Amino acid sequence: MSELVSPFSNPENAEWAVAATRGELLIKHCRSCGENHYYPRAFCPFCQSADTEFLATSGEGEIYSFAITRVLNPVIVHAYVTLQEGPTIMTKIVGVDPDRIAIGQQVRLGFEPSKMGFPMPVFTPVETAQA
Amino acid sequence: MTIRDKAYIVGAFEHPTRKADGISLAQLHAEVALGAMADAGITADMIDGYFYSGDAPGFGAFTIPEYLGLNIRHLDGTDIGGSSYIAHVSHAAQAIAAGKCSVALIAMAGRPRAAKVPIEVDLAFLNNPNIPEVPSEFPYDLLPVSGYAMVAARHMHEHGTTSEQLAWIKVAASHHAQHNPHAMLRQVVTVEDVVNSPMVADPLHRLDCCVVSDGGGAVIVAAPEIARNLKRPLVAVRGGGESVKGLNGGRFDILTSAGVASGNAAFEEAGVARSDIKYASIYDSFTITVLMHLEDLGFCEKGRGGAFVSDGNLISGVGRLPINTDGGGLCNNHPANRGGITKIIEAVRQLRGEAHPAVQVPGCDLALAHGTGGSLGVRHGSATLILERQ
Ligand SMILES: [Zn+2]
Repeated sequence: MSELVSPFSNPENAEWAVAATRGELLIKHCRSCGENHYYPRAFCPFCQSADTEFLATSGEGEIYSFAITRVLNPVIVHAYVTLQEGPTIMTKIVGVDPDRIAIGQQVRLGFEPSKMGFPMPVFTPVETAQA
Repeated sequence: MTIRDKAYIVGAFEHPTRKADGISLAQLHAEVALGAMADAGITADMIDGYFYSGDAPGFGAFTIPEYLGLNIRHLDGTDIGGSSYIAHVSHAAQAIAAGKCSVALIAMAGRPRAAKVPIEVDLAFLNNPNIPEVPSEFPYDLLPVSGYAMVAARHMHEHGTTSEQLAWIKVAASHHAQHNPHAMLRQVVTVEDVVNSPMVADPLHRLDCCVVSDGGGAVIVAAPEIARNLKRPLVAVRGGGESVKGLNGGRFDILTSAGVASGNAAFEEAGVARSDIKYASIYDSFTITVLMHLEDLGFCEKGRGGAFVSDGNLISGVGRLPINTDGGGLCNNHPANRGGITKIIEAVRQLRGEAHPAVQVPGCDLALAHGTGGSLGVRHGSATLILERQ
């Protein structure tokens, strides 16, 4: 088992938190029913099997919804991104003018330092990243 | 077994304050409890059931029953945020039907304004690493309004809903609030006022959000034989339902709330149709909260909420479905960031014929109260209640 990287990681998600430090987003795959889930947990929420394993993601996804939280300083673009591997996850959209973001945009994974002691997954629209 | 006609709401009281300077949290709890007892015409020694939630001071039920001198034989501390108190009425009816208590007190109160505690500080206890979803969500600093804004954005994307349509929900609330002397915001606003107010979290504007207020309220639920001996109009509990919904391992539809399940259960138990409901109290933390639940409770089809709320359709005396005739959380009161109790209280006023004459629904014999607790766009609880004047 991986070492805990922060008080906010725990035995159940330590591998996920450690992967984040090397720029990788892990989700969980259920070997029993074949479904993927996020946030990673010991049991599959779809069939309750404990036969689950971590799965590295491609980092590709699509914006499901977002909110430009303007009352925060700096402004944060909160979002749900649907990963190519299935799960829709809570995240942020970064590196783009908030007014150019739209639901359905293709986005790519990045990481940002967080107050948890390990980096958190964030996403940037693909077109902007290539520009 | 059903709770239908097994219990009656015999007392209801909404605290008049909206900023509780110079009064403690325990005092507020006591004042709403005593107010509801006086309304019912009962004394404290008759209360044998106590229903409370996360707003009560102290560890669960240890504090307020002792503070008030109550002798309790049935307890229920269900906490599903702002929807808790609506679930409590259903639970009280169940407990009364099972003989576990005969007169239940449901009380809530808080003073976030006077205490100057921002909601994110109030909710800081939720940032506990033992809560399994915290590590993957907490670092993003999602505000309550941000979750609701993501629901609104997706609704606009899928169904073409507009900010102007959402604004009609605030307009209706303000039309009602002008008649409520206790309402925080009594000025009638227009669609333009709402859409021109500053963005808080796109696509929600400042006027799409509820007020932050102090105060609270309480209701008394009693067994039929007790209710019939009191002087108040008979308001029967006809049906109830509750549910919770979250992100389901990352497989979810943000436009389907727990209100679908709680509403269906309540209507099934009550044995009435949506078209029978004369008045509805619908939790209005934000305008989108109302729009979503008009759809999810079955008052209109999914996606048609924008058209349904437009042109004053929610204004009493004007539209087809008057809602939140006290001004709701959007204009009147959202005590302790958990406005559920006020939803029950205004439904009781309407059924008794005691709402303000300018907003009273004529012949109001069947009403619905719906609560949403937590964050609609993330994880939330729902409770729905159907009440009947007999
Ligand atoms: Zn499974």
